[in-house]
Amino acid sequence: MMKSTVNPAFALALALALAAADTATAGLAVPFQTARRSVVKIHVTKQEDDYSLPWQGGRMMNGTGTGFIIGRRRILTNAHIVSNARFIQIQKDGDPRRYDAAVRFAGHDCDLATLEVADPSFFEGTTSLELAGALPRLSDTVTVLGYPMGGDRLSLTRGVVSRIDYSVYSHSGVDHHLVLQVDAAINPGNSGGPVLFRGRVVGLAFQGLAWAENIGYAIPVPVIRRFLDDIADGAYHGYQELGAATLELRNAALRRALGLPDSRSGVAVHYLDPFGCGAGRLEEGDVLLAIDGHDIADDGTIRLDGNGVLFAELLERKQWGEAIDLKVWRKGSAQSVSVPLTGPADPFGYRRIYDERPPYAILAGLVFAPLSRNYLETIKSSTSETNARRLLYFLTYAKIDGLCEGRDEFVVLTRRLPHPVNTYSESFLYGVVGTVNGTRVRNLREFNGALASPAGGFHVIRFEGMEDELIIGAEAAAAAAPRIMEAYAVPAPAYLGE
Amino acid sequence: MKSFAFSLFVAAAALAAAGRALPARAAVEDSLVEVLVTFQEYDPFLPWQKRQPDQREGYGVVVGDGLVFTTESLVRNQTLVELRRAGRGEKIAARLVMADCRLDCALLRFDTAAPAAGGLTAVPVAETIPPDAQVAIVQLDETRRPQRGDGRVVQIAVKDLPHAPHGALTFSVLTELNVGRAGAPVFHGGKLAGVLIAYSRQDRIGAMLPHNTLARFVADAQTEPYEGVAWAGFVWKELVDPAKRAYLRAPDDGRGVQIMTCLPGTGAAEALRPGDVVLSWDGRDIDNLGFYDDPDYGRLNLAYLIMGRRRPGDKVPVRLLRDGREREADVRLARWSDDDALIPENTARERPEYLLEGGLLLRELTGRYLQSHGPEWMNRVDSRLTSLYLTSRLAPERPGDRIVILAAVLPDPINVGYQHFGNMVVTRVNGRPVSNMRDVFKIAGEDGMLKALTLRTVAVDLVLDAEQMEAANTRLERQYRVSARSYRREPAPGDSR
Repeated sequence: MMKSTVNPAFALALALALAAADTATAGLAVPFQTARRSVVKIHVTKQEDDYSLPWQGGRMMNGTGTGFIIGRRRILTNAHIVSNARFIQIQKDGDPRRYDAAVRFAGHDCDLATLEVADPSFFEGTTSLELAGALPRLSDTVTVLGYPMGGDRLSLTRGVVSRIDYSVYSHSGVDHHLVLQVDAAINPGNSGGPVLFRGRVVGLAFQGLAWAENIGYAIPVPVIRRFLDDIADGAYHGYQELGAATLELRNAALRRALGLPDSRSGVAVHYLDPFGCGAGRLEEGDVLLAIDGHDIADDGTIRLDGNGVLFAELLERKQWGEAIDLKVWRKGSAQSVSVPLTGPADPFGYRRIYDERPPYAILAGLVFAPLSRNYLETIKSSTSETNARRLLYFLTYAKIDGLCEGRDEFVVLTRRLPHPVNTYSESFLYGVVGTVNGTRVRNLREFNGALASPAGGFHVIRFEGMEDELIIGAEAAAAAAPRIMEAYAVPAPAYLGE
Repeated sequence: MKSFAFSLFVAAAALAAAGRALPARAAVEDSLVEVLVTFQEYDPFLPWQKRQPDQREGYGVVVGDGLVFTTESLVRNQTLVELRRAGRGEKIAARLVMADCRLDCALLRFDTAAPAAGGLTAVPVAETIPPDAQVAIVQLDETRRPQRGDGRVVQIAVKDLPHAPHGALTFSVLTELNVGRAGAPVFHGGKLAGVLIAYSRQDRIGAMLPHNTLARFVADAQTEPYEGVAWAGFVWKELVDPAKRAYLRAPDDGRGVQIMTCLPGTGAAEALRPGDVVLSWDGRDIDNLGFYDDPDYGRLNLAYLIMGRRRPGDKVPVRLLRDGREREADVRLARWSDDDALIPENTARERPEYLLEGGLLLRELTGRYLQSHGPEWMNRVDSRLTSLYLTSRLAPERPGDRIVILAAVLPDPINVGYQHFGNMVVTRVNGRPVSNMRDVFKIAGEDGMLKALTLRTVAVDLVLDAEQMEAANTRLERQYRVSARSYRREPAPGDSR
């Protein structure tokens, strides 16, 4: 982060300006001097794991962000600020001291985290911000507090709510939730800061658009509330997915083909995710008629608080372990289906991974690792390698095309540490392993286990979609291992996870 | 003074070389023509209409009575081909006799009685040229007068054609002449040594289609049926890795390449198997990189041994290694055909077969269609289609299998709810499985229309209202100016599909 020396006179003027804004700001019903005592600056040293060299820590980065105290000695901030953190310190506005902090909960699917500070003296003189009961409306003026770049001290910006919509949460790379779009300036460092309306938190600033001006995004209060409710039992479970891909029923011929009476409306399930909560409860071809008592229209919306929203919005508000009641049209009659929201962990969802040491296994200088979004992001998108191109297909269609059957993960030949023993393996790079020494492998652990039994002195590895086999002499591989590990500074031949 | 003498010497040598390579000046001028092509490709996304017409120019050379040889890539999608002689303004209409994208060869015919065609005379095609032949290249300068340049054959190899993803015997010609267009004739010993199909200004290397390829094509194109290029129907890979050679018990003498894929319906599928090691082909040993010792050209890629001197229908003896044991096999050669592929390239950019019903546009997946999505098509097209193309292009389960796709939906009241679908794989039409457009046409013909479409991994069929169909089709034709709701190619005689 850039550091700048603040001119004392300028800083004073800024403080005065803020004090003046205090009474004039619609977004702040509580006095600014109160609100500012809850907004803290977070100093983080991070180390992002390098998925192309999984045995070593990646590049180190220092950064800052914002957080705010929400009671019970908890500090709320973004998960992306504190993910992969090696060292976290917190500073109050106007206080030179820094306090060590630690992550208590992180929800990477909703980009929220809570921190805790061991030193009880930290909370002296602080206040807690309260969450608003409802979303603000369009054109409501909101205030954003935080520590954006360009200075050391607390900053305040104002803007109006310009849109409330679903959008991608870029931290995980896959999740969509409700977002609050405001036209207040939200800059790097603002992340994690409160968005206030009438003195209460309606959002948490979290991302902007690099190519657009005056578009800042905040995580709205329903998402924050859901996160806090989720961790109330001492663990974060995350969002549960129904896992049903649906087709709108606006086509009368399709409705007739499904035998749906004119009086009914809904959407047809055309695909069920094997890892979704709906698997085993719903059937492909079902028409979802109603969800928790709300009728589903032919375009997939329900009426909620006077607004038409996608039916999935009701799932967004549920916690792990709750159930959702669906009414479905199945084989000519309406039936009730209760779906418990206790889906299994989905290894093929391909969220970006944080705070986990990347596993790998090395054979003859060939590095094998599970396919992950993190790894795929290390491959240049311009590559014309057929195998690398296909990894995107495995990532996207793992479940849909049944590629994941019989596996817990895809084991990929991620890179070659060149040595004469692996000279002729170039064409297998980025390949997805099918069998090793005749054994189909479910995961990296099984892969590593199968290396113990080479057939006739050779390791024979077959890759998905390739006729060619990778052949490695078992003795040659064993003999080469120490030299390869020394030359490329690999501390261990494998790390298979906890 | 010294340097002057030196340059004089060089000039004299060049003159001497040109004198040997070129026929008489008149013979060159009387055989060289400009080929002026108007072309227009069918729109890959709206296949009933065509894209903007455009023009291409290149050269051709008279090789027989009223016959001009030029390159296929020049006349690709031609709507009009005209010839023009050096230094003359009149254009002579020509028609296409045959074009083969596998070799980048095309043969044109013009009316010898046309007034402007008087005096055009065929140049003899060389029967053989030495591997390091001195040659002369002829093109027209800005004033459209013949311009000659010296060159030398510096390499003979099987290379990918510049305008098609296929390998062919190519002579590399080093020349100072800045060759601007394709089709420029190359002479040696007063005869036609070949034509240039591409020229790299930076390397000063021209890629020449050689005399033997050319002569054979010209003869073939004039005899019914067109025989084309022979192939066996397999994909192979080099076999250098010592560990792998030991594993396969391949011989220590460095012979052999490994078979990867055999296309169904081909001679390879009958006699070979994936994993087989080919030790010799047609009596010649194959090394571990796939090269053999050619009697005419020395070290050359196996591809030329398969297609160079053989004809479709020939059976060739092959020595191979299977499960560690050597054995003999006879492999039947057939005519190479893009249609054998699961996803044909359609290099020639032929009009695709399609059916538009109820606004749903069905067609087969081709390389050309994928590439029509732009240079970044691999990032833009759904990864499933990209993956199919990259790995299964040459692996149909049965001969004639294709990937049928719902390419797009033209919005209309009859297809509401389906309009977001595009580039999806179609598995069934009206509940019956389809493996190619032929199946689609058959089912649509028998049932009178397309009633239901099953997409891969979409459990709910897209259903169309039969009663609305006629009105919808009429409406769609009018609204989107669809001139024809379907196009079906005439099945070629003997087409097994």
